[in-house]
Amino acid sequence: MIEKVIHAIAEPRRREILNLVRDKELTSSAIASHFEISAPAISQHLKVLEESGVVVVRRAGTKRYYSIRREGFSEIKQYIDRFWDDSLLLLKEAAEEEERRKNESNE
Amino acid sequence: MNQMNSEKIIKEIFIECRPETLFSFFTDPDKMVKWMGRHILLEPRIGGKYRIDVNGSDIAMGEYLEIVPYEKILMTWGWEKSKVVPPGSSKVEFKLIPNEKGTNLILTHYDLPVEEIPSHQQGWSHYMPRIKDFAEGKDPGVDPWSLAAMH
Repeated sequence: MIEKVIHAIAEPRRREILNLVRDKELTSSAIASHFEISAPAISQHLKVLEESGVVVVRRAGTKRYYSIRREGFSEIKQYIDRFWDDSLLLLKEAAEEEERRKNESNE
Repeated sequence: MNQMNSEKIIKEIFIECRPETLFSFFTDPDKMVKWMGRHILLEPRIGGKYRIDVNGSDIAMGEYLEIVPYEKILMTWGWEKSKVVPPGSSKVEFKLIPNEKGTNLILTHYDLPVEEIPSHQQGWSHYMPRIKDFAEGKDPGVDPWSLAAMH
C-alpha cells in the first residue's frame, strides 16, 4: 500500500487533485474543470488516487464525489512508530542490565 | 510512552540507569546492536555517519548532527532505498533527562515527510522532488558514504 501511495502522489496532476479535494468534496466534473487535459485522463488519475487509498468516492445518482482520505497517509508513520516502540523497549532492557552489572562490580 | 501528532513522533521511556550508562548505547556500536539492528557502523562525532542494518533488509542511514555527552544526540534519519523516508529526509533526537531513580529518554522523530502532504503546499515542494525520483525508479545517485568509505 505504501508503494501505491507513493506512485499516486508522484504525479503532479494527482497532487493538484489532492490539493483540490483536501478541504472539500468535489465531483469528478468539478475536478476536471480545473485542468486542460481530457475528462477520461482525469478520471484515470482519480482511479489511481482511489485505489491507493488517499481519496474516497461517494456516489450520489450519476455523480461521483471525491474527498481526501487522510488515513491513507498514515501507514508509513505507523511503521516508524512501531519501530521505535520495539527498539526503545530493547534499549531499556539492555541499558538496565548494564547498569546492574556496573553496580554489582562496584559492590 | 506513545504520542503522535501531525509532523513528528514523540516517545518517552523511563530507564533505570544513569545517563552515562545510557549515552553509550548511542555511540558504541557493540552496545547499539543490543537494541537496534544486526550490523552497525558508527562514526560518533558531529558530521560522522552511521549505518544500521535493522533486520537484514531495512538499512537505516544518516549522520550525527549534535552530540552533547550524557544529554543529547541529534541525527538525520532515513532508510536506504526508502521512497518515503530516504536518508537525510528526517531527524531523530534523543534527550536524556536524569532524575533521582534513573533517566527519562525522550525520542522525537521530526520532519516525517508523508504528514506534510495533505496539510500544506510547502511540504510538497520540499519533499516531492526526492520522492518523485524514487517513485519513477531513478537512481538517487551514488551513496555519498558507500561501504568502502565506512571501512
